[in-house]
Amino acid sequence: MNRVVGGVGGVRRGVHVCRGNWSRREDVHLQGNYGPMLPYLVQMDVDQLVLEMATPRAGEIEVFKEYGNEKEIGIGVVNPRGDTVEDAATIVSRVEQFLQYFDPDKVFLNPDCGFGTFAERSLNPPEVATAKLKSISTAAAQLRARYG
Amino acid sequence: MIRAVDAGWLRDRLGGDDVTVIDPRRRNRYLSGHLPRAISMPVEEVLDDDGRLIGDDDLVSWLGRGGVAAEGTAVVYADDDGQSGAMLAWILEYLGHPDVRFLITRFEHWRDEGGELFYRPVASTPTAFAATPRDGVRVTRDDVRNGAGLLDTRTHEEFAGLQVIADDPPGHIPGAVNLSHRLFLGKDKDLLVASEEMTARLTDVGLGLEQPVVTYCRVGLRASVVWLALHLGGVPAMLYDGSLLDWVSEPDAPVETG
Repeated sequence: MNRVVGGVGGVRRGVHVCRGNWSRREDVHLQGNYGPMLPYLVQMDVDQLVLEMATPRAGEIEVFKEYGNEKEIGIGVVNPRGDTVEDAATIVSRVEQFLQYFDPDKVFLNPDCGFGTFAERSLNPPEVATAKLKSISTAAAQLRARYG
Repeated sequence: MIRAVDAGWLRDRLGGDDVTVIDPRRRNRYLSGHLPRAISMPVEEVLDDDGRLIGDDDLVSWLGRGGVAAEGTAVVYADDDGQSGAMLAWILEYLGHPDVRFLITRFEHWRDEGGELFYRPVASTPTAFAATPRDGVRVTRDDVRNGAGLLDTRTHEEFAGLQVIADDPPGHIPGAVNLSHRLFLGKDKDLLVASEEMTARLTDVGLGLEQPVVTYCRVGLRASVVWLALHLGGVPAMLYDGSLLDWVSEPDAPVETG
């Protein structure tokens, strides 16, 4: 990874860990906390870890307690596969749990993965994707107002 | 002699410098959450391609590289059916560690009851493990030829020859009796059964306390669980860590079915 991103400057570099994005069945995607990966992720020459955190499959947030602020964290706060739109209050509450371990300026919000999902076979129509992105935007505005 | 300790005992001593907490589980499990101050010593690292223990010199080097010295107090814990923890406890006891404790509280109980976990690998300083192998802990093929006190800890199907793994000949070492290692696992927070329950199981198959029980399985891991249960319960026991794979490595070694 460091050889790949070496010499790349002037942009925010991030790495995303995909756990599977082709099905609405949660039991077919990878699960478990990020503990086994974090020792390696924090050694990567990237600014931000873009991690799926919107479903229970992501494991406990406590796993970041010894890695706080070592990188920016892009927190997956909506599930791009499910059609239930996460409300802003739920997202704010979720992000606030991460603020135990990360300073506010290290925190970014994003969907767990892309809405295009797998092989251009979207699992959500544009209206649902738009509503989820609006929830993220609303939550982000509330968090900025609260934490600067 | 290994002693069982519980979670409360460990919590009270986590601040002490002379306590080394050792996690014997696979590395990814360790990184997914381990006990406070625990160093990672995955027992899978000391098993060969067949799953059998590597030689004594390599075991000693492995312990030293991992930062385990033959001094102070070593606390080993385990999850699931305890194979990795039991084997590590046995290795330490066999190689002469002076004070081995086994956390009888299973890891899952510690975690589920809100016990604090850590995730970052704990650094350890390589050291030298001064081994002084103990007698009466390990047995070899020659020791088990008469079958006396021999306890096969595999499943009934494996013991009877109804289930065969890889190219193993079906059946068991002549003279052995069978109790699956799972019969020695606790059903609640404790990983191993209480001693009275264990003694009853031994009596059921005709094993008494008058001679050491020799446990074996296929490669020694399951047998180490039963060995540990017996050891902690005060029953004289030894481990045939070479187990069935070692036994049948000798041409024409007898094996019984049924």
